[in-house]
Amino acid sequence: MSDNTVEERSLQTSLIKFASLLRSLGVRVSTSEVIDVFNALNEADITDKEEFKYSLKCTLLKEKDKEGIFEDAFEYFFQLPEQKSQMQEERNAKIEEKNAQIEEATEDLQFMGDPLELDEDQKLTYANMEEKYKEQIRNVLEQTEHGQNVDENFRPIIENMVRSSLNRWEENLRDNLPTDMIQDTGDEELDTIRDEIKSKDNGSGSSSSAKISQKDLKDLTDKDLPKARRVMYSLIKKMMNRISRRYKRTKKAARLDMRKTIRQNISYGGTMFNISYKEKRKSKPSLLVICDVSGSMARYTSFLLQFIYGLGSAVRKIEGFIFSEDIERITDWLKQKDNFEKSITDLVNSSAEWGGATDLGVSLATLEEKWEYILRPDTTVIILSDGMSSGLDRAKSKLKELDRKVKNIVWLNPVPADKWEDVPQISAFQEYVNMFECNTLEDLEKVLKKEIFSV
Amino acid sequence: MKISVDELAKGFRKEKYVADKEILTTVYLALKLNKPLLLEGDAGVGKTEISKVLANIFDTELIRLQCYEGLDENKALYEWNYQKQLLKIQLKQDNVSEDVLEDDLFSEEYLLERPLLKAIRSNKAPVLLIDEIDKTDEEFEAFLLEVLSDFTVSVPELGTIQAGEIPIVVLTSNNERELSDGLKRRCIYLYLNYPTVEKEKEIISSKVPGIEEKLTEQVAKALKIIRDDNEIRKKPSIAETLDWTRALVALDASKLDPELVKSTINLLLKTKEDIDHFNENIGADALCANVRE
Repeated sequence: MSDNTVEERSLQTSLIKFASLLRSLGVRVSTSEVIDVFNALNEADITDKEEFKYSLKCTLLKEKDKEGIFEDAFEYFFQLPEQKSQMQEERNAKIEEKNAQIEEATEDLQFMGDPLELDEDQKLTYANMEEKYKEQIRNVLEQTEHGQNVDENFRPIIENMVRSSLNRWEENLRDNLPTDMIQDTGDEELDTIRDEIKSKDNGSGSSSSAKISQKDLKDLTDKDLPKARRVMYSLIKKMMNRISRRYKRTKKAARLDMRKTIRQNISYGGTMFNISYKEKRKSKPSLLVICDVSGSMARYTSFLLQFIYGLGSAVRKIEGFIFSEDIERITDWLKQKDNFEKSITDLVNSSAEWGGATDLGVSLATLEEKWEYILRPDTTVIILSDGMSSGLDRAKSKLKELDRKVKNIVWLNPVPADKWEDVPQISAFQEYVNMFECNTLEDLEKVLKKEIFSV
Repeated sequence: MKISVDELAKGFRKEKYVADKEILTTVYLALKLNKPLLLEGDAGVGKTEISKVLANIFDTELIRLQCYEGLDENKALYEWNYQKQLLKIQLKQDNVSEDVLEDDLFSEEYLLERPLLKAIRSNKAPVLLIDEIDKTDEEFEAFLLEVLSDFTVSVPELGTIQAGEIPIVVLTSNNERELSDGLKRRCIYLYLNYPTVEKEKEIISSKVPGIEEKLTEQVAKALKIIRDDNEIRKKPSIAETLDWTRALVALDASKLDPELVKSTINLLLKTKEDIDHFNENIGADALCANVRE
C-alpha cells in the first residue's frame, strides 16, 4: 500500500470505508467480518501489498462470484491520491454531461410552451439518439402543436406517444448511456469508485461467472453461451441438492426410526435386535414448464429452452411445452441425451409453433383438453413469457382454471418489472400467477430458490 | 512451531504442496485468529490436501468428518453403544441394583466417540477436517456452528466437555449448495481455482520425479486447454493430471504426440460424453500442435 494513502487518513477509517464500498457493490459484509479484518491486520505484514490484499480478501469476501468486484474495488480504493482525484474529475465531468443532456431534452421536448412530463431515463435516451431521429420527434411535436383544434387536452396523448417511442429506443442505447448513478452512498469518493467499477462492467463482454449472471439473457453472445450454460447447470444442480425437512425410511445407518424399531421388535419382548433408520428426503418438485416461442420472445427463446433442457436433465418429474398460437408438448425432447445444439435444431424443424403470434388462452385450452392428467395438485407450473398475448379474456379465464388445478403458477417474465404497467395483459394475469422479472441468470436463481425449490 | 507466513511456506514446500501467497496468507490468518478455514472450489483442486499438509506440519493427528446427506449430530459427535448396553442388561439383570447398572451403562466403556468429540477430547490440538460440508443440511450446519464457536459439548450422562486444545478446523465445500451466511461469517475463506500453467508445472515437477521439462510444460498447457473448454463437464483434477503424467513417463514419453494422447486420454477424462467432446471439438492433433507453440 502506498505511504501517501496512509498519510491521508487512518487505516481504520479506510477499512470501514472500504467495507462500505464493497456493500454498495453488492458484497455482503457484516460487522463481525470488519472486526476480523482489524484482527487479521494486527497479525499480517501490512507493508507487503499482496499480504495486505489477501488479508482483506479472506476476511471480507465469502462469495466466489464477487471476486472480480473485490479485485477492482481494492485496486481503485487503495490507489495513489493523484489517480483518485483524476477519477473524481472524470466523474464530475460525466455528471455535468448528463445534466446538460437532461437539460437539452427538456428544452427540445415541449408541447405548447411547457416541457413534456418525462423521467430522467427517457430524457437521457433522447439525448443519446442520432440527430435525424431526434428531429423526427421534434417535427411530430411541432406539427401536432400547429394542427387544427389542438389544445392542452392533447398533452397526455402526446406524452404517451413520445414515451413509448423513447422506451423502444432505450433498448438499443442501454449500453451507451452514462453510468447509472442511483443509490449513492453519500460519500463522493466511494460513489466515484463504485461508478467506475460499474461502468467497467458495462458491455465489457467479459465472461466471468458474475458478469454472465448479471447480463440480460437476450444480450448473451454466442461466446457467452457455453459459460452461461455452465453457470445455469451448476445453479440447477445446487437447487436439486437442497434437502427437504421431511424424513423417509432408509436402510443406511442414519437417524433412528424409534416407532418402527419398537414395532418390529415387539416379538422379541422389546429387546431391539432389528433397528430401522430414517433419513432426510431430497425435495424433488414436479414441474410443468411452458415456454413462449412467439416472435416477441425470439431473443430469449434459445436461452430459455436451454434452461428447460437443463431442468430436464436434473428433474425427473418434468413436463415441457412450447406455445405461440397453440401449444405443443416437448417432454420427449427434454429427456433425450443428445447435445443441445443438435436437439434444438431437430425441435425447431419439427415444430409448427416457432415465431408466431401469442395466444395463451387457446394454448391453455389445448393443454387442458389433451393433457389434463398431468395437471395435479402437487405440480408447479412455470410459464416463461413476456405476456404479450391476444385474447385477453379467454387467457385470463384459462389461467384461473389452471391455478385451481395445480399447486402454483410461477411466471418468469423477461420484461423489466417497471415496464409491466404498460402491458395491460400483465396486470390481468398477475391476479392468478406469481410473476417475477427474470432477464438475468441472477434473477433466475432468486426465483428458483424462493419459489420452485424451496423446502 | 512458531507460526509465520515464511515458516508455513517452508512447511508446505517440505510437504510438496505448491502454495501461492494467497493460500499461505489465508491459512496463516486462520491459524493466528483461531478461526475455521473454509475452502471452496471444484473437486480435485487440492482442498482436502491442505488439511493433511497442516497435520504433517504441526505433527498432529488428522481427524476427518466426512459429510454426507442426512448426517446428523449423533454420527458427528458421539453415540452410545446400545447393542453392548443391551447385552450388559441381559447379563446383569438379576444380580445388580438398577441404579448401579444405569451408572455403569452410561460410562466411558459404552461411549462411541465420533470425529467432533474425538477432536475436542484430544490432548494435542488435532487438525479437524470437515469434508464436503455442502452435502449436509442447514440443520447440521447450525449445530456445527454451535460446536465450533466454543468447542464445548454437553453429554448429559457425562457432563460438559471442554476442549483443552482448540483444534485447527478446516472445512471444505464443492460448492454444490449455498452455505449459510452464519457459517461463512465465522470462517476465514479461500476459493481454490484450478492451477495456472506455471503452478501446474511446479506441481508436476515436485510430484513426478524424473520427468523431462518439455513434457511437464506440454502437459500443463494441455490441461489448461482442456479445462478452459466449457463443454467439458467433469474437468480433470490435479490427481488426474498426475496420473496422466505418470502414465506418460511410464511409456517413456519425452513429449506429447497425438497417438499417445488418444491412447491415454481416458486417464484425464472420465465420462464418455467428455471423451467424445474432446475427440470431436479439441482433437489430439490440435491439442499437440497448440502445446508445442
